[in-house]
Amino acid sequence: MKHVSHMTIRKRIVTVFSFALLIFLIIVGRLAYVQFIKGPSLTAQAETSWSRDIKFEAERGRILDRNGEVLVDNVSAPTVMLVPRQVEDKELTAQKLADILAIDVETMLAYIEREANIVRFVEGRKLSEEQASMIQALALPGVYLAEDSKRYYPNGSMLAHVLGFSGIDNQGLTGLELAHDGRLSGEAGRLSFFSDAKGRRLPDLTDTYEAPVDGLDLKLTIDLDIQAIMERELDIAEATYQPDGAWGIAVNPNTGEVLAMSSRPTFDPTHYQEVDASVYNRNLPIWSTYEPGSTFKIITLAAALEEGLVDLENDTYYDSGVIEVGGAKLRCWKRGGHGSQTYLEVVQNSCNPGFVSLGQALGKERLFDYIDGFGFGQKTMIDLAGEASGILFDLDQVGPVELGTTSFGQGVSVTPIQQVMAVSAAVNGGYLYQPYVVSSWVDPITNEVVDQVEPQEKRQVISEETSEEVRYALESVVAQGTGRGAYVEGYRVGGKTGTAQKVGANGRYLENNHIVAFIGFAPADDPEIVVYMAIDNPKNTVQFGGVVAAPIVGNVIEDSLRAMGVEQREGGLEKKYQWPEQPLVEVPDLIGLKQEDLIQYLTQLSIETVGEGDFIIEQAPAPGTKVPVGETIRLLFAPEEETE
Amino acid sequence: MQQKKLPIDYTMLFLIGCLVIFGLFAIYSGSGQYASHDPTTYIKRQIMFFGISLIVMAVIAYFDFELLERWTLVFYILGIIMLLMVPFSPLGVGRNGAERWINLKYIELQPSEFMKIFLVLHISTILAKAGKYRLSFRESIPITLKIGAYTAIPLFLILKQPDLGTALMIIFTVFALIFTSSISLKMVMTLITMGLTGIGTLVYLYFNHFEIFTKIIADHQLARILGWLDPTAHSSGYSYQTQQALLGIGAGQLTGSGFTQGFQVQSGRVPEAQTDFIFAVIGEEFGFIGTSLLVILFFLLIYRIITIAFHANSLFGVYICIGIIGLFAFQIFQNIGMTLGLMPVTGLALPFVSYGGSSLLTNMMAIGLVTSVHLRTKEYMFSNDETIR
Repeated sequence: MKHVSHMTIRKRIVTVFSFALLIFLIIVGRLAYVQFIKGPSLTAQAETSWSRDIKFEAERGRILDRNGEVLVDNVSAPTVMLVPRQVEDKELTAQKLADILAIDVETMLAYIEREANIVRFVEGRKLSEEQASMIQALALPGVYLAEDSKRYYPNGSMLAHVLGFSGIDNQGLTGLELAHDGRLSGEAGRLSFFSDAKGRRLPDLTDTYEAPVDGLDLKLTIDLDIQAIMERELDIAEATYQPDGAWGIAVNPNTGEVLAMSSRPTFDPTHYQEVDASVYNRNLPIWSTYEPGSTFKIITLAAALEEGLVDLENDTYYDSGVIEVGGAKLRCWKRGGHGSQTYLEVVQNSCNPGFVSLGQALGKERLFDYIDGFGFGQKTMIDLAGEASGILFDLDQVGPVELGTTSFGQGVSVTPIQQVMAVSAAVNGGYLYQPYVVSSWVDPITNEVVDQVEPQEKRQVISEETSEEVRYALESVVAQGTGRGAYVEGYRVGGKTGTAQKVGANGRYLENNHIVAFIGFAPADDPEIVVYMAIDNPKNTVQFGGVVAAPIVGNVIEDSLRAMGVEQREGGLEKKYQWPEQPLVEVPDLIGLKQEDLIQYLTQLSIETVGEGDFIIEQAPAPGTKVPVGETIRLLFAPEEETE
Repeated sequence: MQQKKLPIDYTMLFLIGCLVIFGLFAIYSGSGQYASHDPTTYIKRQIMFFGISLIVMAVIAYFDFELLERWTLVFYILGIIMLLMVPFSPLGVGRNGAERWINLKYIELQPSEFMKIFLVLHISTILAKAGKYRLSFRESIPITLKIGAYTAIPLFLILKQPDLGTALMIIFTVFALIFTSSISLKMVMTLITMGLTGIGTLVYLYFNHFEIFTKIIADHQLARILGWLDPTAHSSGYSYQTQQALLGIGAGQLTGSGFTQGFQVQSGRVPEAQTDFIFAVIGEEFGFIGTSLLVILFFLLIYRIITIAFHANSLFGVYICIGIIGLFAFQIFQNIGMTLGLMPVTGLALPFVSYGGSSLLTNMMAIGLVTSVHLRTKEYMFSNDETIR
């Protein structure tokens, strides 16, 4: 056994050795790369992963009304977390937690047995205070509670469409919650404290705490008092008329600030899952489009006045009940017409042929210029999602008939917010504003205003003088004309009714199915509020804006102006001013008439109805009785005429 | 005859001592301190294992390894029987989806740990018989086939367990032996070509005939390989482990975060911190200084064994040393490489450092064999003037 290690073998040993050396060099090289070159970035990565352990959620910004009243708040809703390796008795822990959280024991056990440092699970999120305190009382090892919060809507469904709602991660899903999610949510903070597997703190690593940056408070232009008044009136209207829908808007005409906005059907943001998406996605005041009806006459009136085409006091119009344009007959709503009237009376009576004559005087170019000028056919750019733009006639296709119908609000399709802003412009001195609901962003701690939204004036549409004339004409509508239901003693309410016909699926107007609306403003000398309310297809009543919507708007305006502290006025137009010499009117014989025939009697009498159907079979007081103007006549309806 | 002295190579013992002590710190920090009753349980047991292993090593070193030459086939058969006991006897124990252990009431043994030593011994015998002169390609064929057959049987049984790590270690070691032996270089090249063709075929099957591929490579093995190739895309359990280990090692930087202060390790993010991923503990807590010191210790150990092989005057002894170098080198590279994301995840322990009886015992047995070779070399050097050039 000598010379055993032959040269060949020795050479190969050296080769093997070189190979081993290579391997070690690779390892050292890789080590140097990992620990030196990539070291800092890996350290950062690792630290991020450690510090993610304790995350401090930022408090979502609250939403406040213009006076700082809380519309949306946060309430504590703790989350339970598990550290599986610290759990001592898995079965027992699962059993107890499953009981409190009302889930399967198997499901709970699966969470506990998950291979992770910290287990968060969906059923353990947003616990109630009771659940949290029960878990805390158990003091189970490896089970932790983390502070978290959830959205709280103290006013329930009030303003729901505007506010929207947020999901389980406090992320905005609809409405303002979605539109301003970024600024509301703030930035999460974190506590990077380092602990070993037993949860002991590692003393040599410094704790770093990055405080969460809470979201900013969002202050709205909404006035909670006015909103509450509007909601109350809509509640009553819904109970009284069982409508298909109802909506309302109140704005400050001098700025475009939205003071109240409501849409029915509505929902509770806390339980948004319980309603159909079409309910919470449709904020009807900005989403719905329909023929405006008579409220649109304000635009025609303003245009004619601005162009100097009419003198309200001195020019007269004779209404025979029908006007012929382009071979078609356009009828007045009052059978037989209003006879000879001043143009002020044309406005008060909402006389269709009278407005057609104004439209004809303007011509289609000028009329449509004003319609555009008042903002119809385009979005108002309100800071809310889901706004519609409405549809106007294409100017090329406007013939005499289209010009005529447009003059009194048929054949155009507009949104409620467009009407409100246009009427605001007509009464505020002629300035068209962009409506908005976000007033300012407020630092939740210092209460400093971080960002203030200023009113956006788009343009002046009519002159101050014209605007004053429009105000006067509309005040007289409420004092003496079709809008008397909205009259408020001492507040000089002006306004206009609107009874919009709805187009059915077949493209024809629906029978006995109207959107009845009223737009009012006050005080007429210096308007501080414009209110629009609409009731879609009210039941058990005459579907007429002056009957259904005007009193609602009157109530909203009266209570709102009181809440706003607006002084009462003197020297406004007196109600019944027009009939001082005939204080009493004779009750007509209405039995046997159809529902639609009624409208012509309504300028002097109010009507309350009972029963369903088209025909009047009973009335009280009896025909011939003398009653004061504005007295209520009770009518009993039946499906068929009584034949005897 | 010279005086009987302790059959120990002090240089090697010093290196191994350093490695084991290094390991004890890492074991305590990684998991030992969290043992439910006594934080020193793991440490105590590891020291006990080391004590037993040291005695076994000394006994092996004391015997003349050349006497073993006649008995290697017996050991080999013993190893095969133990391997067969895993699946075919009630003593077999499975853990984490692999059946690798046999339960001998008081201790659990991992037969593949012993098998690899016995295989090295037996192949060394075969190669030693072939003589020191270079064989022609034709002469190499029967001996290569013989080695292939002896390797294939345990390899098959180990792959069945499944234990890809040990299987690859055996392939690597046997190849190192063949490469060093007198077998024709042409044969060596042929084997390399065959190996590469095999890998190429697997790659081809993976892309073109996946159904056949899945019959050869198990799902979890594929997952590991894919996780290794692209850790971010396959954030499975395996790549999660290596990612967490790598974060820890990276965070260690130059000086480390200190004993028991490594966050990745202490928060339980690094799995198997006392065994397979022990290198991550050292990397995070002792930094580059610690890891490079450890690598240097390993290198010196390999270097020491190479030196012994270089001076050995028995072919059998040379091959034993080469085989053991192959086993150690592969384990070290595979274990550290896996922690550093260079290699796929397998269950190979880091020699002398990882916690575990079977691994420590067989590694010390290997050191015993090397020591024996070393001692016999010295005897000849003193009793004979003929050098071994």
